[in-house]
Amino acid sequence: MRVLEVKGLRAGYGQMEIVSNVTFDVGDREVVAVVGPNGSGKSTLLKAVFGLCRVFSGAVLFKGEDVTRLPPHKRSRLGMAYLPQTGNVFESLTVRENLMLAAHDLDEEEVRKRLEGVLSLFPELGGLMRRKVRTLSGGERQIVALSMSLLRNPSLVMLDEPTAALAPRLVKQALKRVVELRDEAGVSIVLVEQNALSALEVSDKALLMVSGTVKFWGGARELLEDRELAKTYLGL
Amino acid sequence: MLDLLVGALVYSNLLALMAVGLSLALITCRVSNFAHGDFAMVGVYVAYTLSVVAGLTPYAWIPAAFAFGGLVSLLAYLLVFEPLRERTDLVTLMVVSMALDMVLRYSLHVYADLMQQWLRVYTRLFMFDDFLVEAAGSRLPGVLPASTAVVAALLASLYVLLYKTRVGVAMRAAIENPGLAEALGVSVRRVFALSWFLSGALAATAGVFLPFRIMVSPDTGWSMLLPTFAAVTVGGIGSLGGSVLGAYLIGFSETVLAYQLAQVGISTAYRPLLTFAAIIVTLLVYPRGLSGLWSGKGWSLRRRS
Amino acid sequence: MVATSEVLAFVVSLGTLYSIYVILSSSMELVYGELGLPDFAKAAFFAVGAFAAGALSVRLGAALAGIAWEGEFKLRSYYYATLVSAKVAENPLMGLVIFVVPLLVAVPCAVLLGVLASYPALRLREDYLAITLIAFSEIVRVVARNYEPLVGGTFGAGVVDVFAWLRSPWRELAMMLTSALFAFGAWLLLYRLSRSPFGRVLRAVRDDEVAAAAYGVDVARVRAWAMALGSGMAAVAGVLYAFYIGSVNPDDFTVSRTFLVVLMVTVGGRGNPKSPPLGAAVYLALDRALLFAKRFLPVPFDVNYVAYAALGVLLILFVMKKPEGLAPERPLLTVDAEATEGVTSRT
Repeated sequence: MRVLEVKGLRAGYGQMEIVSNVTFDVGDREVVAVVGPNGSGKSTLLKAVFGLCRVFSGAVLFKGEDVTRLPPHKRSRLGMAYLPQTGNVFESLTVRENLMLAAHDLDEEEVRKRLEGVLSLFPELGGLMRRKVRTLSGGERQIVALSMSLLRNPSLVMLDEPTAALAPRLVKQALKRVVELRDEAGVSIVLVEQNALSALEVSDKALLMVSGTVKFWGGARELLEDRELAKTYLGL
Repeated sequence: MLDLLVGALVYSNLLALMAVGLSLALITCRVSNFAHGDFAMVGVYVAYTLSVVAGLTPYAWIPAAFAFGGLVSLLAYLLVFEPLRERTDLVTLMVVSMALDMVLRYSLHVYADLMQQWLRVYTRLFMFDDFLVEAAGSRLPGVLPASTAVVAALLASLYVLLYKTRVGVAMRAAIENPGLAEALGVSVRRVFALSWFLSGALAATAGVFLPFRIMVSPDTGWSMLLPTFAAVTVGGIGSLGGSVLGAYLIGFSETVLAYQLAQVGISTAYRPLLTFAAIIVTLLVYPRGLSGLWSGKGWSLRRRS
Repeated sequence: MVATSEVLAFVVSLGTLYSIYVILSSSMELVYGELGLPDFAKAAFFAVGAFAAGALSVRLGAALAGIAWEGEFKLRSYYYATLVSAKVAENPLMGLVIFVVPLLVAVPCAVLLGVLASYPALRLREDYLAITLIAFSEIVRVVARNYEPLVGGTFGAGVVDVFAWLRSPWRELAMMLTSALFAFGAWLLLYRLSRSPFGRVLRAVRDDEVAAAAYGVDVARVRAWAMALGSGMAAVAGVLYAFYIGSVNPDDFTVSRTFLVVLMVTVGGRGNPKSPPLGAAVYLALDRALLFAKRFLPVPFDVNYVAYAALGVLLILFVMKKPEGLAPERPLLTVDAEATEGVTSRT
């Protein structure tokens, strides 16, 4: 069974359709990169999959279950995680409180167990626990945000431009780390990225979006090798 | 002089409860809630009715007023402000709260008419009988220790709730970024509902103390409203700690100023001018208010905007 | 049976009140509906007009008629109002002067205050601005309520009957026609402005202040102009109101008054110049209907309270179910659509 299946999705805001007829799917422990020019509807697609914007038609299936009309917090409880590009941590709360919040519906024993797992992935978190997030750097915030998602034991993590706040030299390293999650935490990943080359290098599959529609759907390597598409839309 | 101090302290205590409640509405749904004074009056009439029907001092009915005021406020949230959240502009929200003020205030008037015929008591311009306590060789009205104790207990509980419990973390998180909290599986609706319950409950509790000091009617809520706004504004909009501080600042300066006015032979009816001026001056000169001075540290909740 | 004269009196009185509310809600539509500035000090600008009539009509009349003043204003203004009205009955010209002078005083005052009140809008988020203006409005009321030489404080002030030279049904009719004339003028001004380039500028500032500034609009100036105009209109309504009621009481100018006007504009349809006459009609119809209900429903409480609560419910329902109001704002094409198409096809 596929973790995520998106079928003929049309979505947007108000009357405006931004994403038209998008179909793709994500398998178990698969990394899917969503790439394309600015304003092509990549972020809106993620929002639509998570239930944060209006869906006109089409369906979103999560682990075989139709979640198209479910509110976001229920999708989250089913094991779907979404990390927005900005505002993905609570600045006025401490790191510990942020993590507590992400694990708010679990019992103490379970929280402790998962926290250990997250700390082994991100050992640097240990020293930041009592700090207010407001005082952290961009990279540290991303780690807190990722840890929050992972605490919820998701089967699918959707990341909206996780490298946007990072210095260019850190991008490759950060993406590599994201992909390591697949192996260590056993999750599937949907990655929206501006740095198409770096993203495609670490992904299994690729979805190329242009003006709200799918221009390419297939293996990440195939897209990299398709000189025509890569040059026209990704500047590679 | 002692009278002046007692008056200022009791008045400030009430303002503190009112201001914290008003702030809760502001930071959750961004409503400058003009119906907040009516929640206080709901508390007054609950305590009054129960103490006439079932006896006992109105102090004994504070829990009932707390619960009922909270319930009315909760209903306002669920029926009106939750459906409108993120759907309309700030001024429209405010206008809606003014409409709600009309609904509640005049419903209370109707209730006052009915209660008068039902229980044969004055339901407008009435006061509660207070007890006296001996302290330091003078007699003090009971409302001073009573209100101080209740305010201290409620504010301490609120602090513990917000900072030491899971629900509190969820509340603070939902206030800062409702979308993200929702994405993490928090039901923002439920958390905000709790905030609104507390908002009305605190106001209703403040209301119970009011008739121990002044004569009240259903319209009294309105005259409490602008001083409450002044406390919130001076304290720094969105900061609960600031609201408490603002309440004592406004409460004391208003009382002292009224006393000074009387000394130089000017009518104390000008007293409200101080609060109105405080609102205008704070917003125009230093809109972040007192909490802007310690910005972000301590007991300060703010919505990202 | 209800006598014909009673019906006539009812209609004429209603017409006057309607006209006054059309002026007020037109000024609210201009500032709040078109420009998006929450002018919640409307009651104060309305009061400026009423206070001018309250403070001046009797004093001026007494001076013109050569009546020597004795005693405190707050205690004697009603008495002298009757005396002066009797003089006006013989001298229509005096009535005209007593009517015009308060207008000439009130309008510039209100315009000045309006321009002043437009400046906080540059610094404040719109809801804080609304609270600031409400505080300002309450300051005006509290001062008038306590400073008795102005309009008698809580005693209020008597106002001269400027149409005393006419006999009874004609007198009220003259009042109505005068108010209707002003109302029509105010509404026409709003309507023409709304359809003019200035109207487009107002809505541009309302929808996006920064973008409007980027296209060269002087936002502060536009706000000052609109507030000046809106406040002047409200002051005219205030003068008419004072002469219509025949007295002035500071507590008549509370925030509730402002709220009623906001209600009219919201129900009518914010952003559409048709909203003032529509909203005022809805409000008065509801208000009068409940007044009739009072006569026939023997309930153990005052029906007026129910009327106010019902108005509150009405507004909440409108915002929730029909936020665009009865007459929704229409996007306006002042430039001919074909002309623009010609331009685009050429490029």
